Amino acid sequence: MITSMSVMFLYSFVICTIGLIMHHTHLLSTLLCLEGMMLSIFMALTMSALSSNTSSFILPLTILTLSACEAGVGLALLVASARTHNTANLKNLNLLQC
Amino acid sequence: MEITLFFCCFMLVCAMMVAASSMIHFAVVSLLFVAVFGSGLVVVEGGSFMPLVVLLIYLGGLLVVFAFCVGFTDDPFMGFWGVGVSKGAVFLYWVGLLIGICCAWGYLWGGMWISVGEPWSEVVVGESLGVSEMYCNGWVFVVVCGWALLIVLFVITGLIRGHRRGAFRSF
Repeated sequence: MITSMSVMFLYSFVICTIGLIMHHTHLLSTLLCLEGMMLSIFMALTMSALSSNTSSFILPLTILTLSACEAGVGLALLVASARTHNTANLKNLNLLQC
Repeated sequence: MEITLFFCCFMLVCAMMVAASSMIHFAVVSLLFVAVFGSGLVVVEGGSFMPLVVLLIYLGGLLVVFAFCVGFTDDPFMGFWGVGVSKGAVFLYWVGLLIGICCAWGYLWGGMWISVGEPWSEVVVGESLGVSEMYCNGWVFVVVCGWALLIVLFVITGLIRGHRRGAFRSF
């Protein structure tokens, strides 16, 4: 059930999505916006589970675990890129640019 | 009522600073405050265990790793506003934030916000029943998440391994 308070987390999700598609300098800024999106999703799911009086918090905990996995893989890619090209700027990741 | 608006406003301001900031250090600290104020909103709604999960596991585990990875960056400090991404987007963000605050004001004072969670209504808090449900009937999720974590461990080890030449090598 979507309450009035879930609108706040929708706002923060949209703000982080706009930050994700913006042209950042470093790859870590993009990963941080991704983490902000996942945090908003977790809070919105927790809010909907609390408001609908059904006690099932399985989905927020699962989403938190899988987002932690995704953040770990993203950071591993950042480290590999920093070690290979000595920088993690998004301008260097232009192999597929037409 | 006031503390809800306080949490909402500060969470949106910090989300905006995560999305557009001149240095990554500001973005990491702002993400920390997004987690803190978002947990505060969930506490207002009646939850007690889930905000603790976020603050302990997410902040204390994941965000610490992110803060250490900020050491890989070498951004020069050229100002707080108007540098990099935050050059043209700040005005749009502030407009959107003002619209959001007006909507929140209308929701909170317009009588559409219903508070759930009566104090001392049950002996056992319903939230702990819901979380322990994950180990009783939702064991599939526990197995899947554990398997995913194990596989991701080996994926990360393979990414960071090195011992290869080419465009994707490390150490």
